[in-house]
Amino acid sequence: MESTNELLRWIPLLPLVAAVASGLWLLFLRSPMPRGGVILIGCGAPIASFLLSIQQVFALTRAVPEKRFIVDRLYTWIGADPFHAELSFLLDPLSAVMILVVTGVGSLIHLYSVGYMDGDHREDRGFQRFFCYMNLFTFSMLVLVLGDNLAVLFVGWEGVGLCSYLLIGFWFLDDHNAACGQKAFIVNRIGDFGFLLGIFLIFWAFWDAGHPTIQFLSMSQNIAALEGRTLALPAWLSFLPAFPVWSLLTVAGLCFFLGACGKSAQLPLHVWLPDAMAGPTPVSALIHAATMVTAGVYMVARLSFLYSLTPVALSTIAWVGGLTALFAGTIALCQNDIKKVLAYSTVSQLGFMFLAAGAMAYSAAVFHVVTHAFFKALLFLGAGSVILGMHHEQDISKMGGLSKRMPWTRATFLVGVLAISGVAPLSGFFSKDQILLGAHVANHVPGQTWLWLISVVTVAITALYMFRLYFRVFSGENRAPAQIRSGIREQGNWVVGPLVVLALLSVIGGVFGMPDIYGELFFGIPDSNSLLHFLEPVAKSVAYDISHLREFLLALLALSVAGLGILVAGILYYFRSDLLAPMTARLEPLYRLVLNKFWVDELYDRAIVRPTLWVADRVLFRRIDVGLIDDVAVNGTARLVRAVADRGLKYAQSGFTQSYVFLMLLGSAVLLGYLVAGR
Amino acid sequence: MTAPDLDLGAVAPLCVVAVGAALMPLLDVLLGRTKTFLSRPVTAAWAGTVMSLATTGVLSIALVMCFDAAGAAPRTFNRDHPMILMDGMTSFLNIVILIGSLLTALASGKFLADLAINRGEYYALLLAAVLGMMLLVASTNLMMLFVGLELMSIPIYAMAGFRRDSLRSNESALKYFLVGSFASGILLYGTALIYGATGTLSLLEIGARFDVDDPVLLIGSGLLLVGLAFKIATVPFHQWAPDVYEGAPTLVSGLMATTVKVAAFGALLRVFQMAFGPIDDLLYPALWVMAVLTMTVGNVMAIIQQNTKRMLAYSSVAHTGYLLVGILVGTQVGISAVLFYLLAYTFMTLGAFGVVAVLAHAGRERERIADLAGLANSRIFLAAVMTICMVSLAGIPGTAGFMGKFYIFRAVVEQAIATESSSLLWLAVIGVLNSAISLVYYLRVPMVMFMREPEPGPEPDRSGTFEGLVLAVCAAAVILLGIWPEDLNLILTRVDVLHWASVASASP
Repeated sequence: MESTNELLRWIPLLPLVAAVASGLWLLFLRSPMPRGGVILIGCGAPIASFLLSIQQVFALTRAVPEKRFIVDRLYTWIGADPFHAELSFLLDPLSAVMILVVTGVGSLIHLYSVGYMDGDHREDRGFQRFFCYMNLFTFSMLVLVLGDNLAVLFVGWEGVGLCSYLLIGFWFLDDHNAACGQKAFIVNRIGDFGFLLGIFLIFWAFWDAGHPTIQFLSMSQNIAALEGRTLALPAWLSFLPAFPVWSLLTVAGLCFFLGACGKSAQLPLHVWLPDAMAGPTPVSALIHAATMVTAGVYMVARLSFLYSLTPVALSTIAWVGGLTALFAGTIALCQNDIKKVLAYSTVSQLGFMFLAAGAMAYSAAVFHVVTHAFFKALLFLGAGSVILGMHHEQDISKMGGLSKRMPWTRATFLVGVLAISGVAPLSGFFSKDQILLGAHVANHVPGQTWLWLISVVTVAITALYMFRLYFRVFSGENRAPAQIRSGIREQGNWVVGPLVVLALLSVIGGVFGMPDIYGELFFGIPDSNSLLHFLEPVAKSVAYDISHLREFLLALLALSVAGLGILVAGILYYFRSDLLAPMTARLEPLYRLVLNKFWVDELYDRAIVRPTLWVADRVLFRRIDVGLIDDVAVNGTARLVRAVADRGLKYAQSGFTQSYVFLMLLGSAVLLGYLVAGR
Repeated sequence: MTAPDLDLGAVAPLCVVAVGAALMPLLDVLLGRTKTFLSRPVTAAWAGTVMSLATTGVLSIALVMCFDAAGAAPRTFNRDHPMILMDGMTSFLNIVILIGSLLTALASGKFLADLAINRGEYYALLLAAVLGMMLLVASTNLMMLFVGLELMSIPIYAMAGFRRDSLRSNESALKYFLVGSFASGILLYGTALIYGATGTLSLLEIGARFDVDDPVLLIGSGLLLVGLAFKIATVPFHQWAPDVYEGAPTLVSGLMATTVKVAAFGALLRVFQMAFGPIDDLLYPALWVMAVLTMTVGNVMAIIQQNTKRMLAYSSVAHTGYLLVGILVGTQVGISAVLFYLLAYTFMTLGAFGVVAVLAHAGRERERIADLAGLANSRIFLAAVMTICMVSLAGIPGTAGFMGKFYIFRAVVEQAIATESSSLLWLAVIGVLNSAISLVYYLRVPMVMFMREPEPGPEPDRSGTFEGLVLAVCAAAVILLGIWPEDLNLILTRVDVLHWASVASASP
């Protein structure tokens, strides 16, 4: 059987202990720990977790590929036969990649946060509270990726949602931030609803098939039993046009994917992520770029044994991902808030990941999760550095010319921009290349040529908006007011250090998943795509068979398309910025459409939020809750009881001993009379 | 004439408490005369602490002995004339009584000092009352029962009036004494009639010779029932309780609401088990009405109270009602549920009274519910303990109070189904509805503590070390009994409270 290792549990538990310790301290002692203590505990826990993860992953790799499972069983959480959920952790190649990203990039962001949050004096306990939440998040995320069954995964899933809510609204004294936190939470509920339905459905199906389980390993072993099963519509819905056949796996897969859409901000549930930028920048980097938002991709990869059997769900995922990539990329073109640009860029890149997953290129999806974690965390942290330098100004129309005053930030940011644009040989090039390749060969997806074209266009758009951002922020003249301009300078080592490390990772991160042909061609290493082979036992990607020449041409195409984007950006925002104004004027309606993010938020507001609120307020609250339940049922009863006591009973309680004794006598007389008469 | 066959070992816990009661005034005098090494007399507060610790010590010794006796075979003091029976149920009730009084004694040191009534006889009275309670739950004979009852009541009368300079404390003591002696008179009269009708005072003998057609015996039984019903404060014999609880020093009120009630319930259980078996069916409707009235009146009256102690008094009346339901079921399961409930009830009520007692420090009484406003900000510990106790009294899951109610109502429903008795089922329904009513006043307390701004004025005192310890123990016990009622891992031994309670109720 699989090997067990009790050290595994400490990877998630260390951050939990740190979070609980600092949380309890705040709760009971009411004054924060000394700053050094916060740093030691808050950063020490994820770093220790990271070291332990490395040790565990090495232990894992020593096993033969088919036996790469380490399980750590804590206790039986729910034992309600046939439903059975263990609290146990599973380390396999997929979760190994994820924990390294979560703890590794997470640790860097924790270190960066020391510098970022240091100048924040909105609240004297804020520094410690921040690290408490961040550690709690790290714990939840690790539970999510290490959980060995759907129930534990869901605990982590909800945990990261909670932490995301807490951290988006971290500066909750500003109502806007609190509202953004709520928006994220509520939109995610929609996805969670689908996820829960998926869990119920899949458990029911396995139970029905004689293997009641929600454990990943046994699910993947028994998935064949569900193949070909269908879901019938209940009789009262039979008037609906008969959908050909409701394949059970398709329905379950789509339910799970709805959850993934919520967590990973895919169409149509993408609206929360840009607003989530209200949180402190390290939060955006950790939660809303590197880790939490990739949970959906992780889940699809985790459930790949299920998805691989249902082309309908896969095609849906691919198309949703592709459309989201294009859609969000377009919006990013016109945003003026440095973090919003990055947020839409994240949505777009997540779309790429789903596109890959839907094309059954799971390893490409996971690879992009990793490289994206490197360069997007780098970009966010760089943006944070800029924001600090600009005294919390986030509008790029007021920036410009920062390259002289913030050389380190500029250099690392440029690396990030190049990586995300897919310039060879940076990490983004390799991962994006594989995604495009996957889209190119995904024959099971209807209209895959169009999908591939969309992704190619998106590559160009990505390069365009990223270089627009870079030029607007770092080149040209500074457009900030004079008093801010004079104060712009590079931040301290806490900030610059993580930037440099992440920039290095963004450059070399591609080697883990370098496609086999490059490895052979340039370095003479066979099977250089170690990630693909590493993930093979867990998430088997589709094998494709195209000529090396074609593969090269595709890569060349992607490169030149990215170059085109860079060129356009260079013309419009650097060399001939005078062309920009007439162009936007000519494209006014289109520009406004994109600037306003296609009015999706407004549409949701009109179509869903307001009617819901109206019904909730006018009907459910005022009439039913206040009118019927509160006034009549609850308060009516309460008034009745109180009236009985106030008007009647209390006069019996006169305070006079005589009357008490009299009542006692009366009571005794009744009792005795009853006893004698009733015998 | 042969020497009586006495088993002193059986009553060893009682002897310990009795000796302690006798020595306590002596210790008081000694402490008053002792010079410290600085040749100054010890301060009153210091002496008070020593006295309270000494009392606690005596009670702990008795407690350990009762723990030892709990698992053993039943024993009687005089094997020829068994008037004192030490069986599992006695030991269980003794443990509850000793825990309650021990916690009270431990908290009393600072409480009395702050009210400037730090006098040694308090502890002598306390120990004497405890001795009475232990006798009461052990007695199988009406004479012993009466002795125990009076030995318990008279010290409590005195303790209720322990604040001699306080008008309300005096009123409380006098009322309790007047009504209490009236009830004692009734009980004694009932005893006399029963003796006249049956020629015996032994409960078992009475049960054996019971003639259900004898009006004298029935009237005697009814009077006995009234006498005990007074002590546990069932409607309509409850009216003294709010007045007395309100006026008495708060910890004494707590003692009255818990251990005194436990002891009287013990006696009642004994009387029902041993003597009233033949008239079970006759008593059932009367007790049914009494239980419903007690629950309902207690809960309804508690809603309109503004004074925390009065509210708790009515709350204790309501809980008496729930307990009566358990007795009414009459089954083994019902009685073990009652025993568990008594333990749970003791912790949560003592905790609530304890918090009020801490707030009464230094003569600044904070007895109104409104005085608790903002307590969560100033004294989070007190607010937390109070919240736990209120939530438990209201019977919300996760607390001892919930498990107690759950066991009682489960017993009721099981019995109702087994005997196809709709009146029992209704009893359960009324009980659950009453729990819902009780939420109104129980949850108001945390609401006031957490959501109301405090009135201007000095912050309440911190709890003293021992008081804090007592409160923490109560809160922890409430939670632990709520989460692991079936296998509660006590510090030293694994004591399966519920299982044990059912064993206790099985002995004759």
